[in-house]
Amino acid sequence: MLVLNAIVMGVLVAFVALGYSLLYGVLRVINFAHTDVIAVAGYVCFLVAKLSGGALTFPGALLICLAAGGVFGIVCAAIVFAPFGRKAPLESLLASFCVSLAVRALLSLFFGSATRAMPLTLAADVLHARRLDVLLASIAIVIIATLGYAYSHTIFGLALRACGSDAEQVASMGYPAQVVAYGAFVIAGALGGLTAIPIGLANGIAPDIGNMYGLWAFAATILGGLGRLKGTLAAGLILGAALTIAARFFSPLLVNSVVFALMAIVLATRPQGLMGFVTRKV
Amino acid sequence: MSALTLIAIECLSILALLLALSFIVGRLGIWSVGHLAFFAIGQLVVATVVSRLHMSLPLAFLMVILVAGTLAAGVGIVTLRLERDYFVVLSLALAWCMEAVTLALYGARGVSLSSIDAPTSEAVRGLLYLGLPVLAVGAAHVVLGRSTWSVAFAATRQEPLLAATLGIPTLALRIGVFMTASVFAALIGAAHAAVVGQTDPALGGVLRGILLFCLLILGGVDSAVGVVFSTLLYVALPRILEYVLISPTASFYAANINQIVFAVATYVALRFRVASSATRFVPARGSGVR
Repeated sequence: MLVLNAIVMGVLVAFVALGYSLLYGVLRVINFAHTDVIAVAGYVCFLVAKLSGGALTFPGALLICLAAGGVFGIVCAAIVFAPFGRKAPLESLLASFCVSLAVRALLSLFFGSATRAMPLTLAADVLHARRLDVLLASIAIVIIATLGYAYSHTIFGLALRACGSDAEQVASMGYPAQVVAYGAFVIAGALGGLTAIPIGLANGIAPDIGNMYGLWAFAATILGGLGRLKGTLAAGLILGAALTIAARFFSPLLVNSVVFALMAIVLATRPQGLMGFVTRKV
Repeated sequence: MSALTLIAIECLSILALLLALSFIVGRLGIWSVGHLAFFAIGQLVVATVVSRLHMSLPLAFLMVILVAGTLAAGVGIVTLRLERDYFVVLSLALAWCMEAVTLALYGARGVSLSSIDAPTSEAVRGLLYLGLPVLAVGAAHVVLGRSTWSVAFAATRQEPLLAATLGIPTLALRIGVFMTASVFAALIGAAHAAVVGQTDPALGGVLRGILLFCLLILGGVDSAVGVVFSTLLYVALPRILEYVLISPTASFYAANINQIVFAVATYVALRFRVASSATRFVPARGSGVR
């Protein structure tokens, strides 16, 4: 059971971390509002369930979270990335802080700070915790495999990678670099939105629901190397699993301190990440 | 402690922190977004020294200087060579780490420092411990701003390679100023705890740190007057809202509305460069890229 929990936690952290890394890799943007997509998707589920007068089904919640995450991604792209672009990374980073602060405060104002239950009905056989974990892990593997294929074998994936290297060159060749940028935000948002279901089921929905997961994901992104998707995926899986196991034996706060200290040390000594490499310009 | 004294203490501590932050961000382009980590260190050290080791307050302040100075020197030496966005993230990592350590050691409620000898009233202590630092950092702004040092700061910020060629020890200058500002923030944290008689982990938290950075952007990163204005607005707005929203949950609504107002105002300032121009104070790219 502990191993299964560790795998699911690893997948959750990796999903959120992939969003951070994708945005940095393609756009050189660190979007701190990315964490809030979890709370936004959770509350959208809550609203839809309330309006429809009943709980949501699992596929329904999945679609809603994907859509809510995607839309939130577009909003972030329009507010955080579009006005500042690549040439003002610090301004866009500060703008993402502003979005995050405003979103959390707005969610608190509208829904209150109390934790609410995720409005989801699960079939009796899926409700068994172990089977739910297996289901979530399987869905995650399918999504990661699909994304991996799309990233390395499709035109859009090629455009994403090209934008990460030289966006101006991509634009000059006639590819819509701005659309690619928005696409990256949508994918990152949708990935983050998906995590709202397992996180909401485990902890309930609250404005700061994504806080800890976001921080762990960010640590995983740094450890794997900002902008390096494979490294981030591996670091997310390892870190999430290690956190779950460590939290069984030590205080979670102590574990967090160690993770952030490790993150600071890696940033200071190996900014390219533990699994990254340095590209030297000639 | 009266409400007015608490407001004055809050105002003075924020002002002192922002003026110090304004110095390192505005004059040297060091974007220390998680600078409040040092405020948390100050609180943590004073709480440990006074409540666990049962030592006197002057000794606690000395320990704060030693611990914060050593940590800032270590962090500065290793990290001030990093590119700006990496430095920002590292600064935040330090703040998250300190928040987690503080919570792990003393919990969300903090520690009561009632054992501190209090020969004077809170108002006098507040004025002494927090008012003097505000005056000191304000004077530093004026004096250094008019001296030849300001030219060295500007050169280090705008053309670090050229400044180094001219013999200005750019890295040493940046580390020195970063260390001073960090020790200053830690002392403010310690002084705040000593005046109020209680440590509060939320005051040194990452979220508050980001909000204070927003205040700095809103006021103008090198403008002492702008910082004073944004501090007063930040402290006054929730009180005004609480007064207007007469309900048992007024403080909850006021805090959230305050957060939204400052987030939106900072975004507008960033977007349209209304009150400040963040880009004017960004150091030249490519400096010290690892």
